Amino acid sequence: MYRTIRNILYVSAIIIIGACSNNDELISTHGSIELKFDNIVGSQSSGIIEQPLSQNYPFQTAMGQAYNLTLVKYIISEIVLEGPNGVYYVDSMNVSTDFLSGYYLINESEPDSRNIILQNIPAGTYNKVTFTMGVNEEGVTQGTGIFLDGMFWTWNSGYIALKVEGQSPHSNGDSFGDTIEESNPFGFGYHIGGWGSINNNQTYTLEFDAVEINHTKYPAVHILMDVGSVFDGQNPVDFSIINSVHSPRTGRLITKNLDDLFSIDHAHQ
Amino acid sequence: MTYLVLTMRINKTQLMTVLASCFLWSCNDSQSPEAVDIKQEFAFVKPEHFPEPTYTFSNNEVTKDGFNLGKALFFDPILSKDGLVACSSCHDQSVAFADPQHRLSLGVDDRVGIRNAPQMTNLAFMNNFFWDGGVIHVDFIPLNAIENPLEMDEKTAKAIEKLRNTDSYPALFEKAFGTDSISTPRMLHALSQFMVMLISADSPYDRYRLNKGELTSLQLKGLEVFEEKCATCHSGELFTDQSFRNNGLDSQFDDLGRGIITEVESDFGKFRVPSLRNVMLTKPYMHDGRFSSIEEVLDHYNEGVVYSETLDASLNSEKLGIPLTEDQKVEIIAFLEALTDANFISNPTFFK
Repeated sequence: MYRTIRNILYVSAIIIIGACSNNDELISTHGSIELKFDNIVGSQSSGIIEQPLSQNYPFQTAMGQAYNLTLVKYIISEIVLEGPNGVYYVDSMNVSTDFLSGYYLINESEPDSRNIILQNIPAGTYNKVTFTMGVNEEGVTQGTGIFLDGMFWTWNSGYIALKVEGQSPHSNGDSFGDTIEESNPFGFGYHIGGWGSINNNQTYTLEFDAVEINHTKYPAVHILMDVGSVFDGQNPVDFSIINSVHSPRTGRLITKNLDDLFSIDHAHQ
Repeated sequence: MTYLVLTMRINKTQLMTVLASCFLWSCNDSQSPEAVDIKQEFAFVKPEHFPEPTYTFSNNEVTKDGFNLGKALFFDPILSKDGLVACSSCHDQSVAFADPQHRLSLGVDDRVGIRNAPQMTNLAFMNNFFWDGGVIHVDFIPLNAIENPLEMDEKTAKAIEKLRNTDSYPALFEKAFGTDSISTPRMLHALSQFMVMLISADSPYDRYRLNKGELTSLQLKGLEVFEEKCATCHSGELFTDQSFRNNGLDSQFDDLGRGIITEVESDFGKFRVPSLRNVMLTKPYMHDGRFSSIEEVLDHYNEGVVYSETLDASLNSEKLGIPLTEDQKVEIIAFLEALTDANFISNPTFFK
């Protein structure tokens, strides 16, 4: 009898320890990192958003057309961190009724949304980050769960990877978006999406000066997103010709400008 | 491994008790036995002759309370902008959730849509939805209807806001999801639970197929003709191959159909091949409801098919269309009658 009780206690202890020791272990062998997305236009790194109907045009495209921005929003997913010594971390992506992980909505107008904090990363040295702008098939086919906060085409199921809206005196109006009405005489709206036969989701790999992740070090990587590059590049945007993009195929034209949309500003411990 | 060795010294019952008490003590997420029983009592069951479902039950298991919430939402015009149009306005159980009233669907402010509201059966087995297949998951079906300006013309966020401000819905969400906090994913998952349970698999054809009943000799003849003339596209137990085809309705297209989604010319004028289950109930026919009877549909295939660039190859032989004798038409119609599932359209589970 004594032996049975002793055994039961043993089993209980092991199970309870097993159930609770994970956290302690994670604290000593894992750490966190912050990815900070700084949305800029050329050299201007803050205050890039104007009110709808504003006729203040602080920016200029390579074609020489003035414009302003009223909305910059995009989805980041498929984050992978790597280091020179072989450490490799894949941010897990899950979609269910009440739980979502691995998909992040960056909205320039909501400062908190610009910082992605990744936790429980295996300790080590990291110098490379890979991520996708948009949601690929894996996320779409899981059904609802990912923020539908306007970043979704209801008529052509799929997430909008990037929304850029604003105004230019060169635009002929009749465009639309979250901040742009069709009646806005100078509005433009570019909604870039498409994950199927036309896939406009782009994957970016960026290298940065190596940082240490462990339970005492909490590094941050500052990533620049230059909204200006949406209009300049392989297919320079002329606001008088194309001011409204709301389908995968038309978005393809813009996507060709996005190869260098993101870059590293710096990383620090 | 250590604890496996130790368990050898105590009997199974003791171990189970210990394990149970440890888990109960260390975690709070275990389910009560009653909760499990309720789930088993009311669940999605695949008809034995059907293909595997496509729906993602892994993140949205059907429960009775979830289904009931979905049903309440389905019948509630609160989701529309003017509070007058519900899903059920265009999807009526008595005709397999098609629209018996209107050639084109009718939305808020009596706005006339561009297409005929299709039936809603066996959605759990489909891989695309709507006439153009723009929607690829059951969860996303309601969003298209809610936000379409010609249908319910409401912002999803606004619909959620309205549900939060009701007396009844927080409690229904609490029962379904264990929280009275109303969110878009929970609303969509509840509606999906209702929609995926709309299984029609008990027609005379099904009973014949499963050796549980007979078809008349005329119906059997019709089945034979059907297999030869129709089953290229209306194939399998769902009576659709779920592809997009141009069946020769027009030489020029007012509605690009699938082409709107894929934006390629080779898809212009193509529409989803509809399921023919309950087809005798779901008139009018075609994406724009242009044919008011099944006879007109068969006449179209026999003599009405017109040429266009994207006309389906199966209709594009020397003589366009599908040649059918008058006898064959009668036989096909007799067979199509056998696809009407009387138990489905009168199943009180789906009543308001």
